Amino acid sequence: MRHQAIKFLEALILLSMAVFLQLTLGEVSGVWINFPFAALIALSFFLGFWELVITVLIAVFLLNWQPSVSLEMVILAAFPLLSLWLHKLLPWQIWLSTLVAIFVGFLILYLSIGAVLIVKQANLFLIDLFGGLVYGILVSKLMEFRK
Amino acid sequence: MGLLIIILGFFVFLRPYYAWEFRNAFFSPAPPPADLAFENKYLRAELAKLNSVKSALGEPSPDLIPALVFSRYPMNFKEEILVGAGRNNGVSGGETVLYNKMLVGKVIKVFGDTSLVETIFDSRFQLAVRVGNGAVDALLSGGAEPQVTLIPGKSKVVSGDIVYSAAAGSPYGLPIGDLGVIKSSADRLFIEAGLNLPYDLNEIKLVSIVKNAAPSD
Repeated sequence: MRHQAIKFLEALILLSMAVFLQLTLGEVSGVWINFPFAALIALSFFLGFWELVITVLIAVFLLNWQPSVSLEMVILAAFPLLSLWLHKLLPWQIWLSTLVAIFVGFLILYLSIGAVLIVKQANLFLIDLFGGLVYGILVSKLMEFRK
Repeated sequence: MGLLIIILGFFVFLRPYYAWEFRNAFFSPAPPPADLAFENKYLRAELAKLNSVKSALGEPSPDLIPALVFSRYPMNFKEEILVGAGRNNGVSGGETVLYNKMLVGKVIKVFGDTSLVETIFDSRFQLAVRVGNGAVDALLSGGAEPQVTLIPGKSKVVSGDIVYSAAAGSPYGLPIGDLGVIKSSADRLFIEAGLNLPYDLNEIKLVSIVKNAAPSD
């Protein structure tokens, strides 16, 4: 029970850091790297359903920029929950499955909202994806350490 | 656990403005230092800041609705800002939005007390504009670096010419920026240029919404 609580607290700290990094870097540079999305996907490999729901709600609360539901926030919330189920199907080690899940998640996000951006501003997509993969693997390794 | 989810759900769907305040707190100025000399300097800086806000607003006008910027779209796909004036303040949608008397975007969605503004930095933004003293027609295409496109090839425009609004539904002649470096378009039928702006999106904290004209009977 205590171990589970510490793990959840650790997840919340990693998510908070991800939100802080995204907002700070975005405001300063104008390039928004989706660290919380990557963190949520990585955390879906370690948390239970209800714990993940709480972290997803916190992320949506902190990132939502308008008082209505948007496709971006639906994907941000839904894909990590889908990944919770998906990772049981992935045969690889956790870190590799995390990378694959993050790659698929980012691809779905971009194809759903800004497919043109992948072609027109490929560097933005690649920076976002690279940042997400790095943060995701960091979250994965830290959570695995605690497991 | 269930109670926590209900509370979080309440904040996510019914009280999102707490998050905007939280986000803004990341970038709020540091509190004044205790030392009097330092505090004096801090207050003078605050006064200068308030004066700049006052100049950004200009003289109070019944045709302008001042609005604070609450939050900014946090991903790469759009360049939208949420401002603190909505249906309850007389915003109906489609209004032109000004920053320091310069056109910076248009209202695309209206809520009760807030509105969503698509800025000229958004790649979907387009506006008919005119360039320079010759009033040459052109099209402003939004993006991280907005471009003035479809300028007729034989027109006499030079870098530094003023670019101003000339679109239906938007007040005529609102300044947007200066023409940047001029080059030929890919098909060589037109010329195009970047847009020099005296500000960037990060510094916009207060805007004015130009009220739509009341429909005539």
